[in-house]
Amino acid sequence: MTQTLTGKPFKPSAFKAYFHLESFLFLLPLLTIIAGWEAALRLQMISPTILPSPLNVIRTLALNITDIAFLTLAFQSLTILTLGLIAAFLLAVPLAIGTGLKRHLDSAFTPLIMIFGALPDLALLPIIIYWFGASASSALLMAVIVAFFPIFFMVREGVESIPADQFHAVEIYSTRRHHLFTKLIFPATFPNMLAGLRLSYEFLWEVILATEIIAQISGIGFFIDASVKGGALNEAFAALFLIGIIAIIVDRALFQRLENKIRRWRE
Amino acid sequence: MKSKCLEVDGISKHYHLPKGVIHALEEVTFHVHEREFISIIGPSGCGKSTLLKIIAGLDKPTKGQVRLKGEIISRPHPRISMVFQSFALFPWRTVLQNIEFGLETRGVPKRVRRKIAERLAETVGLKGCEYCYPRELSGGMKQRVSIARALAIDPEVVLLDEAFSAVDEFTAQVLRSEVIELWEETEKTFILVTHNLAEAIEMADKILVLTSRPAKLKHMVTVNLKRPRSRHRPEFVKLQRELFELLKEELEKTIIRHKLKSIYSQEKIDDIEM
Repeated sequence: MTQTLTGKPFKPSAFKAYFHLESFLFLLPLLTIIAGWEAALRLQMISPTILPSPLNVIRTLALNITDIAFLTLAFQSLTILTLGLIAAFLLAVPLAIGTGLKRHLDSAFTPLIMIFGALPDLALLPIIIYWFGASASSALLMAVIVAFFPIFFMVREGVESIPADQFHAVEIYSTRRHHLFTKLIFPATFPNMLAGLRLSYEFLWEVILATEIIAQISGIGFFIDASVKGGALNEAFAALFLIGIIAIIVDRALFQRLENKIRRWRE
Repeated sequence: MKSKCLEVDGISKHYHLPKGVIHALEEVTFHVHEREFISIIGPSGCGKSTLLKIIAGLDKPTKGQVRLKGEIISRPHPRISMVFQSFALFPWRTVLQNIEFGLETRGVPKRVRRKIAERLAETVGLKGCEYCYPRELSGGMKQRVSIARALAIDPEVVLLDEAFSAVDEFTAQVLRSEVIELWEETEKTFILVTHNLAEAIEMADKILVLTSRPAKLKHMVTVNLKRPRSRHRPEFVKLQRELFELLKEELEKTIIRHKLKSIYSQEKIDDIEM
């Protein structure tokens, strides 16, 4: 193993993920698609009323990105997504740990959670809107419901797969009960929390946008819907591009970064 | 006169299951002197690991008590450490972080515990692997980490639960002689649970033989062979044969019971057991 001067090991994997050319390889097929798309329009293979030119879309995005109203819409959706994710995490993790550790809690709660988890989330939307109206709180409630299940099932599985001897080791070497959580359950299930959050995050974009479109709640999804209906395809696509950019930034800056931290001890 | 370090006093363990009571341990009594290396052997499934868990304070006896220098053990004691068959290392911690685990939970300052962990890593032959994670180590190396973790808290008693059973025989042989050396150097009390007769004879001052379920103390043998003990010496072979005979009687009992099980139904057998 390569050792640095400080005695700390040199981690090639983490280094690679940040600065290596490989992490930008995704640009190659992406740019090819955009080029092909632009070419198809220039050669009049597709009418611009069906599909706007990608260069026009990028231009629209560049113009709109300084527009406070447009950004506010994107931030509304992102805020609901983030709040939903955090609330779901705070609800799901204690429940997952409880049911993963205690058999009677598992028997009491898990079948119920499984039934609700099996329901198609959007089926709840009409009821939620009937109760709370076409409002941000309806979208937030949908977000919490959607994000809850992946986190719950992932973390519960993580707790259950901790070997009994690791619990014994903590009991042998520590007299403080909270160490079971801080020194064992949290670090052991951290990869599961991350996987659950990532799954939920991906579901959330879909469900929040669908909610905005169906219930006409203000947000970037609503903006796309309104643009298409108003014939402004450029704007709709600009919004799509923006969502794509946000999604990739969050993925790289948050999830992949955290996954790199646990890669070395896992696999 | 050596002083009594650990006293196991009339330990019984019964499990209450829906279909009846299982008697795992019945009135097991013995004591261990300071700096003694004792080994507990018995037929598989007899409850020797349960006995070790009770000594560790991980499990409660139905009857009886375990005392460490007079102090009754009802939960894990800070001066008793344990080495597991499955190593039970924490995969997200490096070698050093695993070794210093028991010191960290006690609030020993980082610099102090790091120094202790580094010294122990060197003692058990892990130099150069201090910053490795368990998945990067072989079975033998993992068990070395587990042993170093057990020694780091400066225990009175080190419990070894089938500690050499999960590694290949060659590695096990090396580990055994290393543990013997550590035991001689550290002057601590070691208790080893094993099903390997030669291992018990090679390592222990005293061997306790347990009966098949319910486990009682069947026999106690003092091993008066000079260390290092060669497995080919006639005294070694003779002792191994004697212990084997003792265990065979117990194994036969279990075999007869298994045969009966195939003849009678489950419930009837449980009646016989009770």
